[in-house]
Amino acid sequence: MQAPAMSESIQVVPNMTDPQIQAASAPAAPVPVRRTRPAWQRWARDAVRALALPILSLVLFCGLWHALASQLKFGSQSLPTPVEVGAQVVKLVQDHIAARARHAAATAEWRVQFAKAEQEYAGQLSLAELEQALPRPVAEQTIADWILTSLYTVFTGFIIATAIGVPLGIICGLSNPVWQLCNPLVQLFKPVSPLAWLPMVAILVGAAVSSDSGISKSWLTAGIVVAVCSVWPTLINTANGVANVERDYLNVAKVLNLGFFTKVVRIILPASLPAIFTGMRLSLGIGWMVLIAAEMLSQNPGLGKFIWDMYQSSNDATLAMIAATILIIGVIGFALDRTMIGVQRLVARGAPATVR
Amino acid sequence: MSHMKFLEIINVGKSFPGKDGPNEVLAGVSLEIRKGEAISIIGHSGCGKSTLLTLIAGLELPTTGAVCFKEREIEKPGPERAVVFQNHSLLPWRTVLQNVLLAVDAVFPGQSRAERRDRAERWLVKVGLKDHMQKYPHQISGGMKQRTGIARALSMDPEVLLLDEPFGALDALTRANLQDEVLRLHHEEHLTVVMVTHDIDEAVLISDRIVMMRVGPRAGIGRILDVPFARPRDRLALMQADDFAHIRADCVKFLYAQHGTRVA
Ligand SMILES: Nc1ncnc2c1ncn2[C@@H]1O[C@H](COP(=O)(O)OP(=O)(O)O)[C@@H](O)[C@H]1O
Ligand SMILES: [Mg+2]
Repeated sequence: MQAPAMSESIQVVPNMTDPQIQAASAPAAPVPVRRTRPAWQRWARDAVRALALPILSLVLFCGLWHALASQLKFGSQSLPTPVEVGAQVVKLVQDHIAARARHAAATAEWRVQFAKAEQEYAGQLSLAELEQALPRPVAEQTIADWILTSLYTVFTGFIIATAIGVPLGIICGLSNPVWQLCNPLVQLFKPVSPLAWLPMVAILVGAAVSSDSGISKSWLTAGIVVAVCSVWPTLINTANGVANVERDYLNVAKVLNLGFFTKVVRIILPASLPAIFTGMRLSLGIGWMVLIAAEMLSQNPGLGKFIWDMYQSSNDATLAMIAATILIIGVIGFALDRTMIGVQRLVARGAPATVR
Repeated sequence: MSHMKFLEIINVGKSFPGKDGPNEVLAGVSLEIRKGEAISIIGHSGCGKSTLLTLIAGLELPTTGAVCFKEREIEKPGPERAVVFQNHSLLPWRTVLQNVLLAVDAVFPGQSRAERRDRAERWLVKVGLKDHMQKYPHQISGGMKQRTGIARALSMDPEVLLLDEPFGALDALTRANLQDEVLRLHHEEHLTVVMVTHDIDEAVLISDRIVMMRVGPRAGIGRILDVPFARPRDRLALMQADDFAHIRADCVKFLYAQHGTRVA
């Protein structure tokens, strides 16, 4: 959904009943007076219009939430209030800053000691042996690491899904028999929950990837589960887009006697690009949802595992921390979606994009 | 060579599969078109004018009979028979120039990139789009889109230009400009033009013969009217000629008789 103010045109039409304008345009030179506002004013008005309603909705939501949270009691637990959750978000950021500072200090100290040891044991120990004896301090994991891990994992899955979904979708869209062949399988696997896929994927990944290969099994497992669960919209939208290219465009290809390959590259693909990107956007949205579940089960050290760890180590702030993480997950999901819409608009240059 | 038939429609019938049996749209259509001739096809909507044009283009094959170009049966579209579509059919993700290049690249793959670009630009200049080559279709007017469509068709170096109600969606002034353009191109480029239209004035202005089709199903040619005005033609002089009014009245009478009280 898009705020209506974004697309609204803001041209100011000269008002012909305004006596001042009539007087100005009556004699020889009928110059239409355009009372267009300065650009920054229009920009500011657009920004206010685009932001006002979302902000209002957030404020209302927080008010309602606060009222509920302070009223409802679930035995010994109660819902965290917006303020408590906000405090946890702040704490996550502060923890991150503090952890990075500690790491920087520890690393600096380690450098000094390492240099000393290097002199002391010069000729006796190799650098590698020294590093083993005096290991470089490891940074503590913070919210930034969890977010990066989650993004890295979701994009792994998204790229796999796109790499499979787009080409397969093109083939399905071009050939009705192939689509008839694939469709039952698509319908069969599309509704399967990520939680159902995960154990099987985990076992197969565990068996296929050796522990000393340097590849993280939990990352690969979560990525593959994301791919399997999110490939369907890309596949279906691509197939639909390719199958429903406008007749006019196909007639152009026919009249020009374009070869099959040229037709696909020059006409069918560009014509279905908006549909393909719509599918990819839906896939990324599903992928982000699936990812959290996949990380909980596969223990991939991202936001999902963080929530799970919070849940396991229950303390007073657990609920507030989980709620804060939910907020962060929502914000990132929203940002991903907006990014994809931006890409979609770029791709649809020329053709008026219908973005929903 | 000089006795070779140029474009021949020989006893053509065309049916499409329908709900209850085949839907016979055209039946027993025969017409011979000479090189350099300009032909207009008029008739009530739905009688099969577009269908006849797609048969000449080679986009569809006749169910019975044959369409021959230079005594060879037409089996598929070819660059010697270029089509200008009613709704311009420009690819919205390509600029005006790129749209024309699509045709040039397809028809002249042996030429260098520069030569092909040159050819595309030359045609765009000829139809008056010199300053709009880099624009996208959504940035130009309906008339300019049709001009692009014409440039795209002509850039293929066709011998026959097929137009299907090309200016129907344009305002009167733009339409007049484009009619003059077609008139000029027909004369200067020695083209053979076959145009479907619902505008009688347009038919009289542009063509040497007006082919009037009976209403379907099993539609065919009802009457062929000669338009004996000298070329190059001038719109204003033509409109004032007595013959213009006569020919025009003949067309209207035919269409009127075809369809009770309705006139196209
Ligand atoms: N591809 C097609 N499939 C089925 N029926 C068609 C097809 N093309 C045209 N027709 C039918 O043929 C008839 C004539 O259509 P058309 O040639 O477009 O008429 P006109 O151009 O004279 O208005 C119509 O009844 C239409 O429904
Ligand atoms: Mg038609």
